[in-house]
Amino acid sequence: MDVTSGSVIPEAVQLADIYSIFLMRIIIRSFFSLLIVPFLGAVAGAQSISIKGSDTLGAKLVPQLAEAFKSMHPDVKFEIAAEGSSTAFPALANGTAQIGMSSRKAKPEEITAARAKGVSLNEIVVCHDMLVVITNKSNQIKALTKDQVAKIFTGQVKDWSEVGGTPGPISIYTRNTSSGTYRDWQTLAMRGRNYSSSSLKMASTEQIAQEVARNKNGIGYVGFAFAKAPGVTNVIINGVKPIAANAGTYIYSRACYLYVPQNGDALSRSFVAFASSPTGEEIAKKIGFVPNP
Amino acid sequence: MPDTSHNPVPSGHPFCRRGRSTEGLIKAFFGGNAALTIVILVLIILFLLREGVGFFPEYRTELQNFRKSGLEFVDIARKDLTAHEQMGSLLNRAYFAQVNSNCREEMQRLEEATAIVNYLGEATAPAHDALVQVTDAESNSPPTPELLQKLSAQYRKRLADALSGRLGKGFPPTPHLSRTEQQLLCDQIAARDPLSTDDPAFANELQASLAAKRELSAAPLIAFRDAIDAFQSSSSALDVLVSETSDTVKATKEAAVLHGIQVRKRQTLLDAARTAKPDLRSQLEADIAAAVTTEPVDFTAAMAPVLARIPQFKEANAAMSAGLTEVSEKLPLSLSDEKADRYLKAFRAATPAMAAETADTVGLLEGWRADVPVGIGMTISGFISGRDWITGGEWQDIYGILPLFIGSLMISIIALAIAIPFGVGAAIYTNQLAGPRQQRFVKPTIEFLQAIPSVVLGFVGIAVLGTLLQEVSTLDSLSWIPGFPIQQRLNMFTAGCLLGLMAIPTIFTLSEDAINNVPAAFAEASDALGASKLQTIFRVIVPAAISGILAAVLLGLGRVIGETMVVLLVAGNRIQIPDFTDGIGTVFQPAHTLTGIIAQELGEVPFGSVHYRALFVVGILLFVIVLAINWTAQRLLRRFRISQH
Repeated sequence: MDVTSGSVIPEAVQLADIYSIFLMRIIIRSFFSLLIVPFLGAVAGAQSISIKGSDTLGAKLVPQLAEAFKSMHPDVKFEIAAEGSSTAFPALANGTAQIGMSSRKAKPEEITAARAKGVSLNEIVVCHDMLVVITNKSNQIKALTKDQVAKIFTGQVKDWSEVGGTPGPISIYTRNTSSGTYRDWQTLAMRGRNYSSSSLKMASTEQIAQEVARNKNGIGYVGFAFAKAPGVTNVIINGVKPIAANAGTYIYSRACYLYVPQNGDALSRSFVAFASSPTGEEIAKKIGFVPNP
Repeated sequence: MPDTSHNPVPSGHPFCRRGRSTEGLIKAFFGGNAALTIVILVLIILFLLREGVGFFPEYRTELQNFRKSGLEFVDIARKDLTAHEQMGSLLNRAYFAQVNSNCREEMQRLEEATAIVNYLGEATAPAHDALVQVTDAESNSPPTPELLQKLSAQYRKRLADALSGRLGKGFPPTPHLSRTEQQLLCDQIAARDPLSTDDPAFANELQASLAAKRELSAAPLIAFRDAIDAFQSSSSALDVLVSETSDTVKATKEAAVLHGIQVRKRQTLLDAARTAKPDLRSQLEADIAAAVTTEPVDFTAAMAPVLARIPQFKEANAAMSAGLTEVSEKLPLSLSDEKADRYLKAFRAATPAMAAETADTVGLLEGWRADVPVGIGMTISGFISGRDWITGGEWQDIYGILPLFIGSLMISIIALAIAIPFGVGAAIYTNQLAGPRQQRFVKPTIEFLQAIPSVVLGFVGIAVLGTLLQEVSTLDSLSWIPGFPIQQRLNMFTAGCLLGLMAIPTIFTLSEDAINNVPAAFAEASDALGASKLQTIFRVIVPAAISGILAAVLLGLGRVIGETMVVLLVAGNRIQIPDFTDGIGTVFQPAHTLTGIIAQELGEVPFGSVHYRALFVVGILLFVIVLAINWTAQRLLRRFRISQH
């Protein structure tokens, strides 16, 4: 019977586990930076740039830019954390990051919050990203209009037959609410209306692609870099194919930003300059981002 | 003065002093550990309460702004619009189901042709992608002929393999395409340029024939189509009105939010300036002067143009009501296709409710007042019984816990439905029926289940269980099971199965304990009266242990409700109250849970925001639920102990 009387505490602690998912991140991060920063400082002349923010940018583009940058400045160390655009601004404000990545424009409250801590931010558009609508490979629908896409994602259209396909209830896969892409899509494709309450909120872009590939009635949106996932079709929107050559005419296209503090160090400024240089644009293009027009 | 009379060690002996001090140290160490655990528990509770308690007043302020800036006003009209859209969608589905009912064969033929094209496309994908990459016009060096030749040969080889069905899952079955048609399709793909992804001519033909058939079967339904179109366009006036006014009120709200931020910022700076050194103070004072750049928003003035449009809203509302009456008259009495008829009947059934909702809108709009305060009671009840949890949106964040609570509850019920028979059954078997060798094997094995980390289970759930269930559910022989075929492989049932698996060890161990604690005299008396083994078990032992078994089930429930990782990965994360019209099939719908929402959203919410606090309130609620469950279990156990004596 003693087994049970002790179990009140484990249950309560288990609840605390939920928070520790979040708290542990902070603890581990601060612990490691405590350990690593002096260590790096000890390596002669080593300088480090900490970059935080969007997972759209942080998954492939910024790490590759960092690699290329390192080949020119071999003694620079990068620390890249890609956990969503919302994480960029607090990190910039309290100085734990020198550069912030964001797949959306900073909100006024985020800018003021940074200013209140004495940091004013410079905004640089590094490239554009196209959001591609994907459906299951076996879906007969290969093209949709902007209006149809809006209706599908807001839940006004519930069945594929309503847009000319084989009958079947539409399953909508979206990112979760803390993602910058979630908001961008709302602005770009849905005129700011709320998502259908029947949408499934996925933790990552890859998961959207995976689930759409498994569900023959699925639809979702992914960044251009993920559009080549197996088992999915890239839907033509308003007659425009989502390929890099059509970047100018494709409607679901958004800017990707880097933010640096105005009084930031020279190194991070030179990295940002490198990112928007022709070499940087070439790298962006290779991964599937669209250079600035 | 220490009392040494009971001490076997003579006083003055070195053991005495050392022994006592070591003993004291150890005692203090263990006591300290226990105390620390309790202190930490109390700190966790305090932390939860501190972060959560501010939620309701802040949410209330937000709702007040929601009302003052007029978002609520537009939402009243928008509700009608949404209902109208849903009705239109029902009619459309009925129409297309009817049209498609005559084209079933064409659709199947096209589907099978697409399956072949996809199968061949996927089988040749690696070679195709390599070819596309080397021939990419923008790459710097043109490919050498040898490389091209090599890749083309590779492509041909894969294609040949695929055509003979040797790659992947094999050639897809095509019962509706004749042998020659299938051959024709394969030949066309084989003849296609390796770089091209165009559909073969035969697939296009099938597509065209489907389109022609659709047109043919749509011809007699032209009146129905017109009626639907007229119905849908009857809301266009309201649609324009809502989208225009929503832009206005959104701008008002944003201005108000910006001003609020600036005022707060000035306050922070003022506080900083009060304690700052003189040289810094002048700088801060300059900042303070520049802090607030916007005027406070005059809500009444901002709302005036919107309220002035009430007559227009009235007109649009009348147009929509007229549209509804009109379409009800023009609809066909019944449709021949069963599904189409079901949609039509659903439309008819919903018509009175829709008419009533449209009718009271004008009254609501006219009676709406911006200055009525939002009560704290309304805020709390809205949180507890709200059917929407909308966050991170552009319009208004709404926190209603009901869909999350129902999701948690449903998943727990499924988990218990699985875990109780297995856990309790295994306990009865192990304790009463199994021999000592079986006992020695079964007990540790079941308890070993507990050692599997939940994230591993979650991964198994997605990759194995979910996929398997989805594939099995598409079998024709199983289509009688409600809810089959399963749409999403991430659903409540998959999550419930895994959580059941996690709860089995808890329920098993504790039930086994409870059965074990039934005094041997009970069983012996039953035996003496001539009862068989099974009679003894079910009439004597289990009833005697029932409160202990119930406690075991409750503790299993506590474990299930608090579990996070599995539900986050497997439950599908759809924030909506499940559609219970599916009956038992409801369990195959996705859902979101109380624990899942915290894990998913807490990581990135701004510290101290309303959203952040809302998640803490969810945490407090979870804490209270689990605490109540555990408390009830303890009570049950105590009763059980009394019954023993």
